[in-house]
Amino acid sequence: MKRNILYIVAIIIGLSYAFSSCDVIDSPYVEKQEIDTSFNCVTPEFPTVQSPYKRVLLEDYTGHLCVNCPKAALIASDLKARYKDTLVVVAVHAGFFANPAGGYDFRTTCGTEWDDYFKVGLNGNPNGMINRLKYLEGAHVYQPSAWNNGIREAKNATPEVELQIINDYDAELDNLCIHTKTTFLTPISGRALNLNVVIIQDKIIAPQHNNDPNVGSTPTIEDYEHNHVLVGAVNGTWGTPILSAEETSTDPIIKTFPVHVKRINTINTPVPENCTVVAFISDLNTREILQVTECKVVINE
Amino acid sequence: MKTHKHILVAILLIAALPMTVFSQNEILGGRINGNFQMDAQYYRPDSLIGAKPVSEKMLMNSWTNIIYTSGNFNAGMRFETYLNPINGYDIKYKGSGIPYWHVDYKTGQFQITAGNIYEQFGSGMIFRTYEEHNLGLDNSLYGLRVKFRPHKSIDLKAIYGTQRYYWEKGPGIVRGIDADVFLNDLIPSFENSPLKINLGGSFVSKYEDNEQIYNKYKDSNHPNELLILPLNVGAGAGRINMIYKNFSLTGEYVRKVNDPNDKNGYIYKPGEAMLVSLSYNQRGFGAFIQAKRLDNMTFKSRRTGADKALDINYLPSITKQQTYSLASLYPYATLPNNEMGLQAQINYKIKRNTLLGGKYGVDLSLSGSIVNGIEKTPVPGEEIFETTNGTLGYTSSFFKPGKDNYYKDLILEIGHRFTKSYKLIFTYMYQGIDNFVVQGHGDYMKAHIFIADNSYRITTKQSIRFEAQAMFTEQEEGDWAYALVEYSVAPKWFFSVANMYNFGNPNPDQRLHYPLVAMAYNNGANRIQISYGRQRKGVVCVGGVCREMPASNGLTVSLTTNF
Repeated sequence: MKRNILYIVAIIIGLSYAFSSCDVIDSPYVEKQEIDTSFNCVTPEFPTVQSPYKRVLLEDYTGHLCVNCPKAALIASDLKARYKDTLVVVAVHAGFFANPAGGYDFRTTCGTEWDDYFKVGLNGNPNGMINRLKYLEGAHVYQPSAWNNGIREAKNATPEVELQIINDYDAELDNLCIHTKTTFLTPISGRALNLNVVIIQDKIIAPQHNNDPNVGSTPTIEDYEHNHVLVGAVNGTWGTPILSAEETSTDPIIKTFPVHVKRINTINTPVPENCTVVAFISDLNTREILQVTECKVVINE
Repeated sequence: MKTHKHILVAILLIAALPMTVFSQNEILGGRINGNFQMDAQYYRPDSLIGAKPVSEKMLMNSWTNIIYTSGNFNAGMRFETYLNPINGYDIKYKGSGIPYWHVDYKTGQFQITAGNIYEQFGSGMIFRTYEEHNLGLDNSLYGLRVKFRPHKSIDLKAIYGTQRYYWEKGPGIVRGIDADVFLNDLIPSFENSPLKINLGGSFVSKYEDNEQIYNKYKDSNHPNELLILPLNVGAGAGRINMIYKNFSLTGEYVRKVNDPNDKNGYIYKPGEAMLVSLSYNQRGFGAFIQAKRLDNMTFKSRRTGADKALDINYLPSITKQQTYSLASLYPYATLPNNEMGLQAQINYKIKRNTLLGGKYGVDLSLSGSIVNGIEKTPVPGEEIFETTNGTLGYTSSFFKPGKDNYYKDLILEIGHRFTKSYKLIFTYMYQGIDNFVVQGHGDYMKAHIFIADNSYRITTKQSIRFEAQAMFTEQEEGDWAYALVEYSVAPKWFFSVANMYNFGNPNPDQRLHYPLVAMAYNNGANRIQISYGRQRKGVVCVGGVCREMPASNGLTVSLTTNF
């Protein structure tokens, strides 16, 4: 009997010892890395803009669970083909229809904060904003059927600002130097302006709900190609100040943003070859976007 | 991959040669046995059901097991070939080789196994390596196992190795020990007690090298935060099995320390699992109730693993496994990180030669199950926008289920033999399933399913079976009907014709038929089966573990032999 008890005690001690030999981590569970100083961003020479024109940002608020969104994406794609570099399209996956499912999640911090702020998702998906116009008047949410008219109207406005991007990407180190140049075409004073820089990605293949057989298979297009997908903000949700309300615009402003493209979204690691940098200037009070432009991360000669 | 040990090929050759020389499967005083299976599918594109063209036209999975046994020694190996893998199986299986071999011998109180090992501790919630061909799963442990029996009432096991990952090995090292004690044999005064008690305990640990995993923020506001990873992740389990007269109670509790991984969103909360079953059985009556809770219990030997491979544990399903076609159309898959459920079943046989039981009696079965999520409360101060990566994650009250229902069913089954030749089994099933949570797409579906399974014995050798099934639902693809006729001539021939019809699809263009004809020929230990027809896109599940099946249209040939 004594021997049997010894067996049990030995087993209990053995199991207890084994269980205690694990690595239990206490909070904080992360360690901050030193800022990467391997960037060697050299400010380039920007070409002179001969005849600046107004470009338009179409934000398509969408979600992979939204059955009507593939049709809206098709409209956005047609508009992009029609207006070419006059139009920049950003697909913002946010809200209920972008909830994670099937092992992927296209939401971003900035996309969701924009959606919360402008309440686009509350109006249902798909819906969009065009240069975030009429925010204060409350008529800033455009249905896909109204996108064309909205873009046509917005692009006819006189540009107050010109914006240029030059990207310098080192694929080996995944170092991207984003250089932006903001040129004020007319004196601006009493208005606070911010510069936003974000990255979007094309050619993400993942399932998309769909109810339109003319667009693809229903109820799900398994190998749907998601384009213009917002993958991350380079300088935060609301960007970096470029002009304060107390200042008057004068000389052009060049800013440089070093970023690791593949780390900008560690949930869906971006493919640099399919990524584009989008920059836009917005009025902090009215939220209106004054100018927008885009430039591919990897430019194939 | 496929860098097989020459010695194993030699074993195969040595093993195969005597089989041709001697008519009996004997060699060196031992015995050889094994089996062979080949499944080949010829595909035709079918745009209506979404069956895509297959470049190879035909795909094939096949394997052969050979086991040699001589006294206390046995050795085995398995040759597998996937050229190329049948649709629905992971393409990483592509190729041929010997991914499995083992040698095993017993001496005195010890039993030693080397090579690929299939083993289970307790219910498997802490450790189970197994092979399930229907799911394309094989997580065998490549290493060593030692079994030790110091006393007739005590069984000890220890395992150490790495897991199979298709044709390769996973990066993590898995170690474990397990003890099982039968108290009635251990304590002499307890030996003849009507109460039988088994106690068990396990510990399993995995080791993985450190790696750079950045905290998952969704923009560059926090660009350079690395997760501090536990390199050794351990889990402990305790279990009890009690039998008293007609009652049986089994229970197991598992706790796992912090294990940030891809499946749990890299949170550091410990994991917990509990499974308790109580059953009562007597002649003509049986009752069973089971409760389960799973909280953050994904346990893999690769922390970044997102596919079904490299699972260290197996989390059993708490829902009844269905075999009828429409009842298994929307199966429930275990959610390892978030599940709390109950299952109960009562079986009762109305005696024969009674008013209700008739001449042959009536078998009644009523079962039901319900599965919700667990209640989760974010840890104060750690709510990072929409993601809890790199935090404790949440807290959860052990006995509090979440509000969201993921699955429920109620099944009534009545079986009655009307005559010596004719038997009917009628089944009604109500099913509610949140396909969005379980499968990643779809809606919460509620369905009523009716099944009539009729068997008629024509002669002592010939029988015919007819199944009629109907499923009514307003969600997903709407209503379905299914009919099957099987004709068997024992013991060799089998023929069947079946059709599944999605007559209630909300899209009239998708109201499709899925016909299937099949025949099989058995000759001793050999069986060949040929079927032709359409197969709906869906999910096949075994014990709560599921595999997506793509739609297909074509010819399937299966050949199995045993020797």
